[in-house]
Amino acid sequence: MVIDQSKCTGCDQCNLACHAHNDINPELQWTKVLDAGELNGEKVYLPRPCMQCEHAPCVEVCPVGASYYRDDGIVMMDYDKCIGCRYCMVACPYDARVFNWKEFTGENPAVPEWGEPEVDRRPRGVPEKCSFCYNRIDRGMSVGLVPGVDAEATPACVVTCPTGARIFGDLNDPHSNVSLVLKKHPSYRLRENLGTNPRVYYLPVREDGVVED
Amino acid sequence: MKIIFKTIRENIFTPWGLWLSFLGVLLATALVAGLSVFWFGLSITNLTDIVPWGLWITIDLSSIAVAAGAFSLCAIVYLFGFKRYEPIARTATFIGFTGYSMAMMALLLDIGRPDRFWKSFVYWNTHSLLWEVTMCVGLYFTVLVFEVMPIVASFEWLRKKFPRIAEKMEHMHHYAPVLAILGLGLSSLHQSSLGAVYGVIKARPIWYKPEMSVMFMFTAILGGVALTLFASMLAARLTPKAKVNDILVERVSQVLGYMMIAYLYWRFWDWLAQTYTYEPGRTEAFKLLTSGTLSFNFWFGEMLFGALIPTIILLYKPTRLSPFWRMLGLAMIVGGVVAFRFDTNIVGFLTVISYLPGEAMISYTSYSPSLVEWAAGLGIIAFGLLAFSIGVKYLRVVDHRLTSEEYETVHVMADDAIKA
Ligand code: SF4
Ligand code: SF4
Repeated sequence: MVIDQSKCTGCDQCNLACHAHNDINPELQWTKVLDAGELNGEKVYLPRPCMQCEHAPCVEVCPVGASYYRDDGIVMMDYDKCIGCRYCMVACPYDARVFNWKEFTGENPAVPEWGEPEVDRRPRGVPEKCSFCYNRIDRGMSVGLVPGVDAEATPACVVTCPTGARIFGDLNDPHSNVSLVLKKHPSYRLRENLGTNPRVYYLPVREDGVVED
Repeated sequence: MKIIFKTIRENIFTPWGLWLSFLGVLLATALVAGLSVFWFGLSITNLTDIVPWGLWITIDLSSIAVAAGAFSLCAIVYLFGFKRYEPIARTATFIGFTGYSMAMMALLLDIGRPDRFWKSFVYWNTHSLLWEVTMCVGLYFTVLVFEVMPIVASFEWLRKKFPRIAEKMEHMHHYAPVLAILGLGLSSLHQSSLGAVYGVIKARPIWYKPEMSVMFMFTAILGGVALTLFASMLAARLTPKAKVNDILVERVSQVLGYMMIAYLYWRFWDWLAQTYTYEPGRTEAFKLLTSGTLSFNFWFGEMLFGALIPTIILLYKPTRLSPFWRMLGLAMIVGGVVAFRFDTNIVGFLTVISYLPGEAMISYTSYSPSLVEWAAGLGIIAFGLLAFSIGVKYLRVVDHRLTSEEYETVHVMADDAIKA
């Protein structure tokens, strides 16, 4: 995933879509839109999903293997295996994990009347995190769609972003949309010095205020 | 029924009765607290996503630490052949057993899904240090169960009612050297990897250092031996059931004093290494320890009263020979180890490192345990005190008149090696 900070207006729609799709407790957030200061008098935002680290500390430390890698690199949670020790939360450098301190019951205000969440609610006592909407990817790909190109095969936050600040695609494919964007523009990742190799790249806001595409 | 009430009425106002009632109140409160945690979930604690490990983990770390007397002293007695110290090893084994039970209670409270605790033994991620700790603690606890069997066998009631079982349990004593080897291996593995649980966390620079595991191992041995000696001496003052051989205790205390010097030396270099250059996150966290909210804990709890003063007390002959000062010194070491574990755990959470680029990097947060956490935590400690009190009273846990003859004759290979 590539996130273009020069396009992000901090509207929080991605977060809302995430809540609706994954049926998340309103008190918790999988993808936070953070204030990242100002540049030339304009506010800068930094949306932060799970980085889907290549060397994910959360996977390395989980005693029971409830956090694990999928073959395509997505870092998964097995909510049935997890014992709730929270070591993964201690280890994650990006605060990407949130814990179900309480049971989430009742209506989810983020879910619109015309739709239903596609993901089961997590039980009390386990941490949860962004999954890159792997279920959308899988379902889309099974009918021949391409994640990042076809909306049905792309994470909800990417589809919903009104300014197109989020770009999704296959980083392993040198010709994919994300690979091309990264070739063209300078980018950075969060806490790169830790060697976790995050799969979320950021395009910084340019000093001259130009928005590229 | 009547008899029970009568016994209670007659004994409640004795010191023993009052002590038991005091512990009983703590335990009952803890039971309520514990059940409400299972019922309402961890939301009734003050733990958050930012500070996910708090008081209970400190209790867990500390009780494992002070339980380490068991493996250290058993190794000294059964492997290195210092048979004279066997009675102390007996006390240490019992404390070890109690300590590990406490640790497991704390963990059961702390994990979000206590109903799934068994999964930690079934599903293995061998890469995880916590997996290693869990396995070793589980196995070592089993070893401890076998090690305390001969001690439990000295329960009068058991001997009378089930002489056969008592005899079998007593017989376990013959395997003491084997158990000591197993215990030594498992303990050294997990005592140190308990430190590594913190030491491998790159995201929190104050923890991320290789000596974390060595520090945990070292402090565990110090705290474990100190607690064993302190508890023995205290028991001997309070009840005629406990008998200590002061010469033995004094010897071990002296050795402990020398080990404390090594510890201080270590801490000095650790301190220098932590302060020498600026490292984002680590420097701020260390400031929290040395001049922030944790500074009192650090300077007084860990350093002055936890290390420096007890070292002097145990090495200066007149104070070491005085039972009062020696006990004080030993208790201070235990306190110092607990303070060390508390600070180490909490400092990593209170220093929040931002991942935003170009932001002021570091902020601090705070944590103070909720009432429920205190109630349950104190209950766990009360359980430990209760177990030890019962051990002293009924199981001759502290009885330095016991010699190996009383366990029939035991021939240990390590013993021969020493004589040669
Ligand atoms: S960002 Fe955190 S939760 Fe996500 S993969 Fe990396 S370490 Fe795991
Ligand atoms: S809380 Fe669950 S997922 Fe996280 S480390 Fe513990 S068992 Fe693994």
